Amino acid sequence: MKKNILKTLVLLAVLINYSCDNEMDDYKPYNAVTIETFYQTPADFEQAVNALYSAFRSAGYYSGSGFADDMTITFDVMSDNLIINTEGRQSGRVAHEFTYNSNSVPTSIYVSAYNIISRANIIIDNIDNLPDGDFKNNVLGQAMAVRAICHFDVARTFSKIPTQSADALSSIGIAYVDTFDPQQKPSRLGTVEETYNRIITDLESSKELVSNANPNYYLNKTSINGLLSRVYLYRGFYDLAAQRAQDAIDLGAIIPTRAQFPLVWMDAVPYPASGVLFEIAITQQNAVQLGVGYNQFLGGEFFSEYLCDYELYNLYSSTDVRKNAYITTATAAGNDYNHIIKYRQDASGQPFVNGKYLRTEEVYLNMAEAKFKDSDPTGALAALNAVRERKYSGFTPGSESGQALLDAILLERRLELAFEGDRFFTLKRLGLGLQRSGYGHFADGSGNPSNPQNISATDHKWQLPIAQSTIINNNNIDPNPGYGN
Amino acid sequence: MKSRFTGILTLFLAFMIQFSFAQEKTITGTVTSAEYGALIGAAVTVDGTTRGTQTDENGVFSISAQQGDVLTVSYVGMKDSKINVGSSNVYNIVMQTQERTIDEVVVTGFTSQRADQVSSATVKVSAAEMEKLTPITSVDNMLQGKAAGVQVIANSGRPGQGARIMVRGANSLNGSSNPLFVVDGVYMTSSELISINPNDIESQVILKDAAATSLYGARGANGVIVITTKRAKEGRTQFRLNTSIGFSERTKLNDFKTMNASQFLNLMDKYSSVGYPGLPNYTDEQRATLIANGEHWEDNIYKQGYNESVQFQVLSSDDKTNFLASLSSDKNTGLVSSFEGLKRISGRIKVDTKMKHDITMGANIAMSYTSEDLPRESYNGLSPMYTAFATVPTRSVYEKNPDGSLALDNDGNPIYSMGAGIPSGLNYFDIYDNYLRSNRRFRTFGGFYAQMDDMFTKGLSAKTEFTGIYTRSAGEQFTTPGSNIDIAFNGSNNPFPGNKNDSGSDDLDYRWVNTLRYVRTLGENHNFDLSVFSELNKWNFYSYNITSSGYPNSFLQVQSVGTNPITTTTGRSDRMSMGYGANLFYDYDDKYLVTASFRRDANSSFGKDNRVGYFPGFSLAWKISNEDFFNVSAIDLLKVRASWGKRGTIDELGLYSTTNIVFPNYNDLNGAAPSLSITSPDLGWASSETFNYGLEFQAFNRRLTGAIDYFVDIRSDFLFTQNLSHEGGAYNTQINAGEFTNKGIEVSLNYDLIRNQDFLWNIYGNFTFIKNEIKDLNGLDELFAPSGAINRVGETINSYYMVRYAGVNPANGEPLYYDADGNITNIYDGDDAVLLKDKSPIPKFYGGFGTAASYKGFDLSFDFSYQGGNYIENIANNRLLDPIDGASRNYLTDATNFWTTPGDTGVLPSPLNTDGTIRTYQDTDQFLQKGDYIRLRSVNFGYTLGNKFLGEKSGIESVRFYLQGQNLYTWTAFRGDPEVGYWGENNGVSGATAGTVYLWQYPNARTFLFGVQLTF
Repeated sequence: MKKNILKTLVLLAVLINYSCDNEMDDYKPYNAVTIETFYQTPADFEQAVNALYSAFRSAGYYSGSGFADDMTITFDVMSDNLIINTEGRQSGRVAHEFTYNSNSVPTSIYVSAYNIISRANIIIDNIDNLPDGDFKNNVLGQAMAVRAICHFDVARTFSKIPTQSADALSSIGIAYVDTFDPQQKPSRLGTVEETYNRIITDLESSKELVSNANPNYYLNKTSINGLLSRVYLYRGFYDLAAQRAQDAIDLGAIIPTRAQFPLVWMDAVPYPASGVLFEIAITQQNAVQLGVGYNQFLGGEFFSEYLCDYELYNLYSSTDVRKNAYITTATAAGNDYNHIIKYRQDASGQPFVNGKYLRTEEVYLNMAEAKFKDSDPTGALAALNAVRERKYSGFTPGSESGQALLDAILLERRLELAFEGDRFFTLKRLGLGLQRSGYGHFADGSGNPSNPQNISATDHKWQLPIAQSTIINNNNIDPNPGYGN
Repeated sequence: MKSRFTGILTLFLAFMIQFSFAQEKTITGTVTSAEYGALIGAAVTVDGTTRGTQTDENGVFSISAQQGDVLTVSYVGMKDSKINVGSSNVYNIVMQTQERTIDEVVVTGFTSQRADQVSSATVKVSAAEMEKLTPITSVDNMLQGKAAGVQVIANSGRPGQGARIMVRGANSLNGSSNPLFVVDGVYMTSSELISINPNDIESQVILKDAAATSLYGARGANGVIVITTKRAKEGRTQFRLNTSIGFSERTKLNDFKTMNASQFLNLMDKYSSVGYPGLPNYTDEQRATLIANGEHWEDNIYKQGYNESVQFQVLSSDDKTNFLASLSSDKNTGLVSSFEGLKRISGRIKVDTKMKHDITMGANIAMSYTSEDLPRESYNGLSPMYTAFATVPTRSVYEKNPDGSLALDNDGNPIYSMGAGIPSGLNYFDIYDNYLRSNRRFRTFGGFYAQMDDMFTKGLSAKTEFTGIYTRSAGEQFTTPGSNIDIAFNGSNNPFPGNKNDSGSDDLDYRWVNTLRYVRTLGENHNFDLSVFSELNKWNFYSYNITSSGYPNSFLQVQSVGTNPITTTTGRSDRMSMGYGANLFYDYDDKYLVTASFRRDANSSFGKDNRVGYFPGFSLAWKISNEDFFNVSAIDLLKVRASWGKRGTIDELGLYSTTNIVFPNYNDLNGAAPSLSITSPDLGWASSETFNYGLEFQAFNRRLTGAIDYFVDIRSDFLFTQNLSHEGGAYNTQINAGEFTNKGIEVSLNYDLIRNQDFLWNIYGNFTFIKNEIKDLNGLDELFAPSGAINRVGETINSYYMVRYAGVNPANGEPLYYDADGNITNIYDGDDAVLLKDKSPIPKFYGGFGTAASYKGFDLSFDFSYQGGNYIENIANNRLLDPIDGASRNYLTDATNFWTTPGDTGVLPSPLNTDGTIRTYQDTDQFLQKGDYIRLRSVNFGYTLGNKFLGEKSGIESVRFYLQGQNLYTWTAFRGDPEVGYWGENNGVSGATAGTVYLWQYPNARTFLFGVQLTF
């Protein structure tokens, strides 16, 4: 009997239900709060705004991936500014040779841009959790502006640019997404015109909301005006392009001095003197090295993926401060090359530099081109000279006119914005086609020339293919003409 | 009263003695076995009487018997021996080890069962099989070729690497997961198995169908491998000391030779002769110097590996207590210079004892400490494997003067050569002088249990068991300040040179299982064995990661020295599950066998509404040979069985069912944004439903044994990562969708060709054939796997998706391709990629075979494993033939075989495009190669000295000397080593199906060992 008491006790001990499923409700991640409880307080929104900009560190923008798919390199690879180093790893070769297709899109900017847009939209959708006032406006304005420029980047890459050809405005646009819903499957807007209308509406509204006291690694009134000058130039609204450029200058956009210029690329000149109106801050903690897309510095030598085209190299005169700030001629494994060093290092020698999205020089050059197109050659020349006098030592103001003036503006644009992702779009939006120099990849122009040497202005490859995966994930998206999706 | 009693006794004794004197004699003898020598305590009885005795410490017995009596000698673990007493008075008995006894028990984790009564698909691999691959191999590797239905591929040859195991085919679209390992009740993953001393293992039982694994609920869907450690045989104490030393080298690569310096220079000349631009032009003198001074980098990078192992084990048991203790120390240097490989110290104590109140308690604690360094298995100059193949053979490790002597720096030290022709321009030896990566791990695992038997009624028992595994790991990575590798990683002019990373984790996974079991026979023949149990499982994980830079020199390497902190992070996560289950074994007269099981499982990783899953299993067997009508004397056992079951998996499930806000950093401030993974509220359990039909037989006095199984595994509702629209932000979510099936046949056979006292010779083999077909992909026709392979409805999982190569145009040397419609074209277009039918990395068949013989003290065995029907993309082959790198990289010797003259066929494309520019190979199926192979996995040759030879006084039971060889030879058409595991580091897709690409994996080792096993 006593034995049975013991056994009963043991049995009870075994049968006691020591846990229940409800305990599982307490299992929550340790490093994250959930979406339902966020976007409530000003501190939440401050962080949400930071995440808008941090997302620009993704592939297609400023990821430092080393695969030639960042904004700092892709659109120069697809132009006459760069030539592939056949001794390199051949990264981005499909872009350079225009052999890409819907399974090998040269840039991930499509995915990255829409991800940033979703971060903007979740802010905009929840904005009324903030009390009305300057803080709310500044948050909302930045979210709207980021949404607009990301759509703009997608539009100029994957759709035609309004000034590109006669049929551009009525050709197919891109999906314009204005709400946070990961499950949505929007279609592309019917026309490029509609797309640019939406971009301009967002940007124009945002510039009224944001503060101009924001530092240049957040968007502010000056930078949004500068961006508007770019968008209007692409749109072909030249008076507005010139006007917004002027607004940006009036708000404080400055061209750095010749002495400052090389230091701008080492992040050693503070805003506004740097003239960098909007940049993506990159710190050591992010470990993003924008320069590795171009080359790696190993054993005292640059091992480059892409090199400066010899023709472009010769276009930089010896009095041009940009020449040495952008390019260095050096030996690697026994051969001389013209290496790109624009993103190599900061003032302390660390390979972490900010991603420069918009600079004052471009705003002036936008103004110059817009005024030229708007029949104001005097204003155009003045804007052009304003840039040139800060680049060349012993510069005497030029006095070009007519076609020579336009050529001078475009030359200066090429020289100034080389290796920043502008060249492909300039060729594209002006319908110029691509004509490469024929030079080889070595420092003296010998070596292996690029292939191909020409891309006609009407080639469908100017509109990059929508990725197969994009269409698989959303069958409402139409492929771009010319690609066998 | 007293006297009367004495009187009767006296009378009785007198009668006895008288009787004895008339008939009996004293029989003496020794009892021995080939394996253990003299057997102490063997029971010797006279049949039909109560008379019996035991052998003494020398195995000697003495007993009275009369002529015509039969003596039975019995000993645990041996077959009973019978002796007819004749005229002789001395009988020496050699006992035979009992092989495959009918009472062999299969431990399946929650339950155990007699092997002949199992009705589900299970297979057992015993210690003897595993000992054929002893040294510091992870125990999962030992299963290769040993069990039908179980495919085992080494991840890579790096010492300590686990294996990729697939039980009955692929189990996921995204790269299959390993089965669950249950080691004496501890749940372990494949990567944790390296902590187990293989010598401690008694058996590995693989549970293959859902009827057997449904009791494991959430964790059983990929199969379960139950590993049981040794127990002492009752009444015996044994000390065992096993030592081995050996060396290893790379497995021989089939048709994969890189060039030497003169071959390389000849290739360069041949390239130049067809107009390849920019190649160096050497004078004869320069050539001679380069050939004389150049080195073959495979010889530089690879070294002869060295293995050593010392293992000590005690097994002891009396009628109440069973005791095991073991200690081992192992070392494997691996094959790569500059690295020291793996070291392991492990120990175990396992004891259980019967106490009063029918209580048995036991404890089983194992500990291990491993340290390893980690060569990169990547596609760059950091990788020893890539460096070995790709470095130009005209380079030497050290700079040399033209006369061949070493160039010296100002301090008189040799100078590492740098620059062209060396991957990344950095010398491998320079890199690893200054770049250290290592890992240390301490693990302890095991558990405690208490069991009370015969509660209230005979056959009812209660057991409570706590098991767990705790791992503490620490990793270090240090870059010497100012070294070339430091500059490569962190830039020159870096104000904070040098870099140190410390990372580690703290990981506890434990279970608490309570079981009630009732074993009862009703009537004469209705045998019931019912268990109900509850299982609580909790896991929590903590990690840290610290990086800083700014180090003064190469030897101060602790974080406190670093002047520039970079990252300091910690992480934490956890998970729990709660299960209840029941299992019933029923048999009628050992003829009709039924197993029914059921488990309800709840898991914290699911949302509240979907967290519970139900997993039933059911199986039936019929032992035809036990029927009265069955009287085929040649057949000992004939059993048919059928099973059905369902099981679940949480393999690819995230830990938490929430949509999180993550905190990316911007300008060193926190940002906040939704994580890319969005929760789907409907997410439920992925499941696998299996049907299995089997036949087992034993014939000719069990000389022939075998089993045949046909199975169908329907995998459905897997956790399907659904990539949401890019326009919506490119988020992803998990849903349950899709279905694919694995159908297959398994055969295993074992035949004893010769079986007598002195000579045993058997052969065995197993064969598995599997066909996979995708049935549904969430309504999609096709879906790309992470590896770039394609999944298409109606086709095999992870089929290759590539542009087809159509050979070389004999007219101009251009490579040709097939377009999507099958027309030949000279234009390469990625859009022409097609699904390559029936070509996937998953083998269609695999298995193993072998033979073992023993004659007197000698034993010899050969084991082979094979697989086939799979395809491997041979990227290493491609990259070492591609002409694009000119003089900056080495080539395979057949790189010279390229098109030069119109009409050339059977050649590689011309190194130049038709416009004279340098060609590079496009991504096609040109290098997609069949992965079929047969490998001589192990050869063992041993000689055992029994104590007869050593003398009984020596106290030694036996000594075995053996020679062992592993991975000795491979028959294959694949170029390289066809045993391809994972992709290596830095190649992105860690989950990709094993065997997808052959790249720069750590080479598999061919090992030769000499060992001594001493038992006393």
